[in-house]
Amino acid sequence: MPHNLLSVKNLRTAFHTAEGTAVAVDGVSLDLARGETLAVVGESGCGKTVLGLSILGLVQPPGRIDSGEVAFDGRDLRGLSAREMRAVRGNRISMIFQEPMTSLNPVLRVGEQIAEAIRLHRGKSRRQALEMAGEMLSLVGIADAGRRLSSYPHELSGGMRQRVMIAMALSLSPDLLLADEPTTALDVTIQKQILDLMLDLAAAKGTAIALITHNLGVVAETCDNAAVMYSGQVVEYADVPSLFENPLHPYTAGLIRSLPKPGVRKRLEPIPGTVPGLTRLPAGCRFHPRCPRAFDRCRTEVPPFFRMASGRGARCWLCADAAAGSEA
Amino acid sequence: MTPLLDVRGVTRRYVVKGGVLGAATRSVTAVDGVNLTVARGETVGLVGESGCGKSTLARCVAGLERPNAGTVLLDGRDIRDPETERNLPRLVQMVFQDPFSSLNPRRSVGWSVAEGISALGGVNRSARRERVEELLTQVGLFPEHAGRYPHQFSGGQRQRVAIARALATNPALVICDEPVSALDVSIQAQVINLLDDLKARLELSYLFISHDLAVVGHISDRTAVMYLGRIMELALTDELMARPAHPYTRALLAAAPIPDPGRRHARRTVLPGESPSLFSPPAGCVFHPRCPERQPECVVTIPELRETSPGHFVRCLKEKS
Repeated sequence: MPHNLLSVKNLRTAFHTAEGTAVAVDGVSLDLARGETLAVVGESGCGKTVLGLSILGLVQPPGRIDSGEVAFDGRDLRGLSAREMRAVRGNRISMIFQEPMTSLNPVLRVGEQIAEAIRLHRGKSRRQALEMAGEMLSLVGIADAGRRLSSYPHELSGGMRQRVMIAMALSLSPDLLLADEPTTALDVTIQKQILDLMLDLAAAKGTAIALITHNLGVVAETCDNAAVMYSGQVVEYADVPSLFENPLHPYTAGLIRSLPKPGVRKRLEPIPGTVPGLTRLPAGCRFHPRCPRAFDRCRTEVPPFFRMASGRGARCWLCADAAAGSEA
Repeated sequence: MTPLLDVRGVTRRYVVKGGVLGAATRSVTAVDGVNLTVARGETVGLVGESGCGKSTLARCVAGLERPNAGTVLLDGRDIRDPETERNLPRLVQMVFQDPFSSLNPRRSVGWSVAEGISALGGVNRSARRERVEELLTQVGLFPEHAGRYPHQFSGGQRQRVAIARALATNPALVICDEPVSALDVSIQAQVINLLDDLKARLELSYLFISHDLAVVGHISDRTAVMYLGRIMELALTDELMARPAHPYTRALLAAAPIPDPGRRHARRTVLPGESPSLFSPPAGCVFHPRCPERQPECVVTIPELRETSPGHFVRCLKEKS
């Protein structure tokens, strides 16, 4: 059987602090095929960003990956040296973060920043690399790309900086692009431009995308599959149309119901309560104190992840009868 | 009938120093001749992208900024009249996006809420405490929360505290500047419902500012769309959403992601480019460089905001009244 591009198994990343241990990613398993677009969706504190950093090997102390497996193209990334990991991050996996200003070097012209990656990873000369950088800039829709090569990041708007990040991330034709809230800081018309651009370029180069976001609208419009996270765990996994049409987990259903719908003026249906702190998790199902459908078992027993015959699944006791199998 | 809020021709300009030793000065017009009313009991939404002037307009209405031209009338009185100015806290209050930076971290939330009451004077200590407890209960918190500090609350709860503080003076108008933008979706709905309830119970009026069309569409009776300091379109919200007349409004509606994969369009129109710099606004219609329906005359002629059907105002040369 051919292996998936990315396969995460039982990943556990925890932050060990004086106040206790916060397990930010708690037993997450995910698969991502070549060319697939996967959304990792959830609210603040659900562990989606830490999951991304764990995949990239960028978790900083006091955070630590305690156990689990991150296989990329059949190779376990956790066993790699820091140097080998850097080579993978440059060549095969690229990333884009929410605020490009913090990811770009403020004292280096953008052309040189893009060219540096091309020079290091593709062994091109400085001149060839700059030329390629210019081509990438016009590809991401920056007008007058030749002149923009010598701009500094602060001279560009937020949307332009994010275009530069995309140019840099895709200049090496990576197999996987990990994008963490890439458009959250941008206006909607710019968001639309950036998402379309990312998807078009990824499709043209066969790049798979893991899109980390809190925005269900963005998920609905851009992704093939989605993993919904809550309190460090994946609570539901499904193809995007099924997820919205027939959510299995009450948390997913609650998220969708709580959104204002265009043209519908009825009272909103929020999820009651708030997300529990990671050091004070409730017993049983982590969502049960907020769940409108909770019953006795939910309060005492931790539900496994039930998988349906269709491949989708949810971490919810309501799925126990319909499930084809279950995973811890 | 006199509207509660009447904004007449408000313009706010900023002078920016630049060049060697700040010798060169340039000016930007953040808000350019805006007219807008809010009736008693009405919610008017103000949408637009960053830099469109919506927050500057809000600050002018709240008296936090002094317009360079135009007047702001509350209940028919100019907010610059000395008497009205003194009374302004009773007339208008503001709720901001980030309650963490608008609440004093070193003071209990009870203190922060009471500050609004004390500002008006003439209230003894026990009456003040009772009022604080009443306000906290009103926004869905508990009286015992008064002794806690902002960091002990979640984001949604902090926004409830900020709302309680805004209500302390019994204002007629509450300006909400992106009040739910920093909140998670499940919490966002809780706060929107709270604002809806308070409006009905206390007969409030809102000027509701947001970049999120879905939220504005839900809460507002009328909606104004701003671009580069000007109102481009103003109509009843349902009318605006169903029959957007300005190309910019249509582009905003098309760009907003909809949480319904069934409505995913293969290729929808994308508005090209970005908002131009306020330092060098385009001639003619300010939207013309990005407008998909641009005509030659749009480059030279400045369109007026015209009423094209009753209550529906559009600033576009293509729309004839």
